[in-house]
Amino acid sequence: MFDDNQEVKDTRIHLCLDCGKCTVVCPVARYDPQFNPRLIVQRNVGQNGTNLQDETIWSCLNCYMCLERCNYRVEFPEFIRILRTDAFGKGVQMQCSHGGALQTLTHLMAGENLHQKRLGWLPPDIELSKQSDTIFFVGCAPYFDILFSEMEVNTLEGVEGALRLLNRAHIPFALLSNERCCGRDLLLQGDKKGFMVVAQANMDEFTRLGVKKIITSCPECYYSLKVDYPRMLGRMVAEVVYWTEIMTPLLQAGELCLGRLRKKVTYQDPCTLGRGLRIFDTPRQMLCAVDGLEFVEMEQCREKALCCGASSWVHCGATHRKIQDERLAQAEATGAKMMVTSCPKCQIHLKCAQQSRNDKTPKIDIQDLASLVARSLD
Amino acid sequence: MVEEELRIGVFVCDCGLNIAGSVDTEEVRRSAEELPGVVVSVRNRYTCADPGQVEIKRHINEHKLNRVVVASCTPRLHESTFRQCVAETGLNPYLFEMANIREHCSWVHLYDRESATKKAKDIVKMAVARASLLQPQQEMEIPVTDAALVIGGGVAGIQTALDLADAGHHVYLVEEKPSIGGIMAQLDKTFPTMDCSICVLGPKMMDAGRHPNIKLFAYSTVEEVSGYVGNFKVRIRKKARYVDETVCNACAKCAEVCPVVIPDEFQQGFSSRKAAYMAFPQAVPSAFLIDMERCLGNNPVACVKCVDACEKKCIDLHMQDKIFEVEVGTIIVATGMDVYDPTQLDEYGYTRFENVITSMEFERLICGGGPTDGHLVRPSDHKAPKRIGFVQCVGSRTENRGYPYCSNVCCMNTVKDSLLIKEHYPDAEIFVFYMDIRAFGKGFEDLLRRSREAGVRYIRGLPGEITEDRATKNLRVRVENTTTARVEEYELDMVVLSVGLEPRADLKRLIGTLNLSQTSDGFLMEAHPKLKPVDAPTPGIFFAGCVESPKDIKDSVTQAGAAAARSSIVLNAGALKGEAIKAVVDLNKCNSCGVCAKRCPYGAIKVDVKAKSGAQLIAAACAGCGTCAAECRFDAITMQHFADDSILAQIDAALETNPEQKIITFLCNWCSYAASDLAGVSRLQYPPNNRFIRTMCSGRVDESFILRALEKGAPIVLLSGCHLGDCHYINANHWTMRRADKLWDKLEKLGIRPERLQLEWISAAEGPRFSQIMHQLEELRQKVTPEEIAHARKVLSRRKLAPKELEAEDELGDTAKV
Amino acid sequence: MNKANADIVVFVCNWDGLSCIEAAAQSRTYPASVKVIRVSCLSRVHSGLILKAFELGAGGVMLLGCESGSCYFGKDDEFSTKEYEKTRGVLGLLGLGGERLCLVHLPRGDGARFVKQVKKFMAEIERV
Repeated sequence: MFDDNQEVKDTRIHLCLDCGKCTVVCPVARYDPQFNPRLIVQRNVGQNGTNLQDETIWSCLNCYMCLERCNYRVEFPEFIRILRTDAFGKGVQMQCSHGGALQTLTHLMAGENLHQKRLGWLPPDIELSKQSDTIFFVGCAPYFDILFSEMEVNTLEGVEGALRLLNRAHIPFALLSNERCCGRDLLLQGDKKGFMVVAQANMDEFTRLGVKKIITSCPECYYSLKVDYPRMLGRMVAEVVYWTEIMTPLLQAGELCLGRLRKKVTYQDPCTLGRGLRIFDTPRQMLCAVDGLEFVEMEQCREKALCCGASSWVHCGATHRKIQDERLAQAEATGAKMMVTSCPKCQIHLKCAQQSRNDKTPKIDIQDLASLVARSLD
Repeated sequence: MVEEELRIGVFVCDCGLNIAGSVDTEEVRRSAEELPGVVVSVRNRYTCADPGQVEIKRHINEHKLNRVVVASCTPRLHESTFRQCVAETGLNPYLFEMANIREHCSWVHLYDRESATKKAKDIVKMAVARASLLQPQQEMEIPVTDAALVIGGGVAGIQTALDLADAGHHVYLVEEKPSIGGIMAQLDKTFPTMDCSICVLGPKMMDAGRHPNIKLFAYSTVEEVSGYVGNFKVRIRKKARYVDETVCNACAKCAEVCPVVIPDEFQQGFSSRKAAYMAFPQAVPSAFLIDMERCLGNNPVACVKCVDACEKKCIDLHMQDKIFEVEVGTIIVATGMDVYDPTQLDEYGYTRFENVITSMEFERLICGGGPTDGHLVRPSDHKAPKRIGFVQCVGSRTENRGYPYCSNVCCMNTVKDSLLIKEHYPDAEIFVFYMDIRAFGKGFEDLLRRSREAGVRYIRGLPGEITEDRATKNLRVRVENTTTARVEEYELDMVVLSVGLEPRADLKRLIGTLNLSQTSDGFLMEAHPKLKPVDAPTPGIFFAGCVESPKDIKDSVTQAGAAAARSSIVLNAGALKGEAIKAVVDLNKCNSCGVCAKRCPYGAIKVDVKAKSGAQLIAAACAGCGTCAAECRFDAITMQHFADDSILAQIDAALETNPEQKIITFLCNWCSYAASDLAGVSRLQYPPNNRFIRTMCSGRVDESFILRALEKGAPIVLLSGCHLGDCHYINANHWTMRRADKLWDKLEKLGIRPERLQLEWISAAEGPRFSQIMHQLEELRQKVTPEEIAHARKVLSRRKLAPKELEAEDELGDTAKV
Repeated sequence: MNKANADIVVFVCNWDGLSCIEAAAQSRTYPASVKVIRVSCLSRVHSGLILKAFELGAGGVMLLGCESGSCYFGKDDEFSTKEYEKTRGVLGLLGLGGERLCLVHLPRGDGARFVKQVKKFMAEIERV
């Protein structure tokens, strides 16, 4: 019985009081009347597995807004993941965005005899420390920049920025030449098997190289390595840290000084980093440490931040476009010239949305936090 | 030490077929004759019945018995009956012991007559061994002061005070605000009758204020309480009012001229008062006071306008606080509750949007005595609202900012409010956004029906967010109507947040003063949730009203009456008799280390560690749990009737023959013993290897008892008691757990497998679980090898048993409050 | 993914492209490991489909379409070229080698050149 499943019980889904607060605050429900998180619970709890007629389970953005407001902090996104895993296991075809390219990419990275050539972008001035037991986990940025080149997506710039700042702060690190995708998207889509293959491959690398600490600038990789790996693989060999969390103590101690950049900016809290992992302050501290930067908050910020409108390369449609339009409108309403985000996916999805708008308003510049801050050093 | 020769009489009961059916009672009777000290061993069909009792008395007289053992049912059933019987012959009732061969033997080993009989013989042997060491005890009489202290002057406190006073007792009513009345004085109408709140409360306040038996201390706090039931000493601080309340005639001239204007907390901040003020028009005492924190100053005196204006010349800016010491027999705590502040719920916009108010604020707006003279207007523009929404469960039933419990009154309060609005504005559109409507009481469903008939819309769903229209200050409420599964948006003039109730912020101080406990929701813990709802675990202290849990006025008044009645029992008694199970300190052995004082859940021991005063035990406050005796490292404390020697004697008796077959189990009188009885009554069968030893509390079980059992060859020892948080002696089982932890470490160091000591918390309702545990223990016992038993026997008999190792006292601070 | 004995997948447009395949089939043979997938126009083929072929075990993918200006639907080759370049880049990063993907434009019915291209492609892949 589905309900006896300990994973399902751990989401506390049975505590749902049916109050409907989640439906009100959910960004998808706002624009898609068919999507109702409360009803998804009703339709799927107490059943013999996922209600396979329920197609709406693929529309959830995993943005944690429901969890934020729920009286019992029911873990609805995790419940969705379990439903998707069950449905996927039963052969339900989900709708992938971008023609399933990203899913296929991750599957290809699971190959045993894989010898990626993924460090070609690395600028010569960045110092690597081959002996260090700390690595910087790059994520799929090299692949993103190729696949989304027509949107002028530049996630590698963010990675380079983070690496330069780490160099500046004299924090040694190495890079993995055969780093696989962290697998988070596969896990969220319900492809648990696919996730386990890449995750295990990564773990084997970490173990083989004696990695003790992992720094990353991608919130999804951070969540995956920090939370999903120990949960799903049963153990994690290294400490996982988000890059701003190591940088800001150095800023506050005066050991690292950022430069100057005159811009009016606003900040997009990535859902996974913000509501998911409660990291709101350190990215803001980094921004505010740049001299000359005028920082202004959007109407919906921090715990209430609006999602960038897409998640794990599943099911992108009109509803999601509307969410993205709203977010861009909120950013523009602040009067900022630049929207800074610390997630490569937010960058991709919002830039994609910008492209398809009819140029009603001047386009706000979307930049990665790390690349912006690193630029100030020059 | 026993002076005269022991003459023990054993009475084995057949109990019809209840015992005789599965135990050879004749064999049990015969074997008892052979026990040391036994002069007569008799068999009875029904010992508890009259003929049985007569026979016991006859034998006591005939054989000049000085100890009596009855082997029959559980002592929790008939111990007092037999004690009474024994006392009637002139023999001290504490020289009587019961052997439980029914619930613990015949009923649970129905199909193994041989083993059941063997076990029954052992049980009797243990009882005789204990009886040999029992001493006569005197029950102490504690004189009772015929006076009560009521802390808190809300409706519950007032009612309790009046009930006690009318019953002829002296009452001290202490209220920290300048006037009694509490929250009820701030309400407009009460549900379900729609009575005017202050109109029904006012006369009661007046009665309390002028009752000859009630001494009212308004604007006062209870600073310190010492003593025990029947003899509490209380120190009350009466704060300076700077106005002589006996002279003040409430002419209000001082308030007229006072230059300081402050928000009026009684009116929820909607209007203002002066530093010289009266709390509200119906205040009792009916006198003004000066709010010295807001007054322009009295040292040096800055402005004397009030003094000059006062007709009666009763303002004295140099008044001092006064301290009063009173003695009372009982204390009733009725300090009420606070109302939840919903500011942290940013999605509702309280304090950001003017027209979002709380239910308390609503009461003042609609009340005739309120800031708008009862014209319900909305805060932003003082216009009459046409569309009003109520949001339920604000701060209640949630783990996400707020409290997990249901606050009891908010549903009916909103139903009442909806009807009040309809009275004022029949055309108003009212929406109630709810999860559940709890209309459980008398007249409640009726009121709800009236509300629906009046056209109030009840919408099932809680709003996810409220936004404000900057121009009109109207509110937009977005809510999923879960009945239609559609997200709806309502534009409303005003939103009332139906906030929950929370324990008072300063409750911790009161808890410290009175040695009380809190339940997990933060309110005060009662002695028993079903059977003693108004008693505190500490004898002599009672609760009334919301301090114990959220409730409405009717239930508060009911509880107040109950508290007064319970209190009366104590006060009417003149003197109280306590069961003679008390701790006694041998000051010659006492080292003044202070551990016992820290362990006692009742604060009944006082030790001045520095002055080496010796442990001073207040017998009247002692509840007899035995924790102090178990924890004392110098063996300086003896428990009357449950002395160390009587327990060790039971262990020795049980393990004299075939110890490797037997499991020694310590049961606490209130929970695990009750569970074992329940298993017996339910006829749940389990292996006959267990030998039970009863203590009043698991806290009594000394480390040395367990080690003795292992030394004498027991393969397994079970230590059991109430679940943590349920201990009959507040939290003594917390120390049991700590002791077990330490003992496990010790056993390991001695090379004894720690699993041979088992620890289980068993509640009185867990009969089946008890039986299950008995099965599990037997499985464990079978895995213990003879070598292990021999090793333990050798190692433990070599150890010096006294004094106990003087381990460093770990820093635990206050005893943990549950 | 087994490199040896891997199939070649050819996405072929329904018009000029397919005519080359049909011509080849009539007069010459092309290796059995060449699997043909017909699409209405090469612009139908995006990076997801190409990568999927590799996921499913293809050793190489050829995109066969019409020459510039001959498109049945009047489209230019901007999209398919972009997808080709993207996927090549991804294959390169993956270490599989961008050489495993090729883009071929042929005139109507040119069966001979098709076979030559295929054989050349397969030889190149052997070397990788």
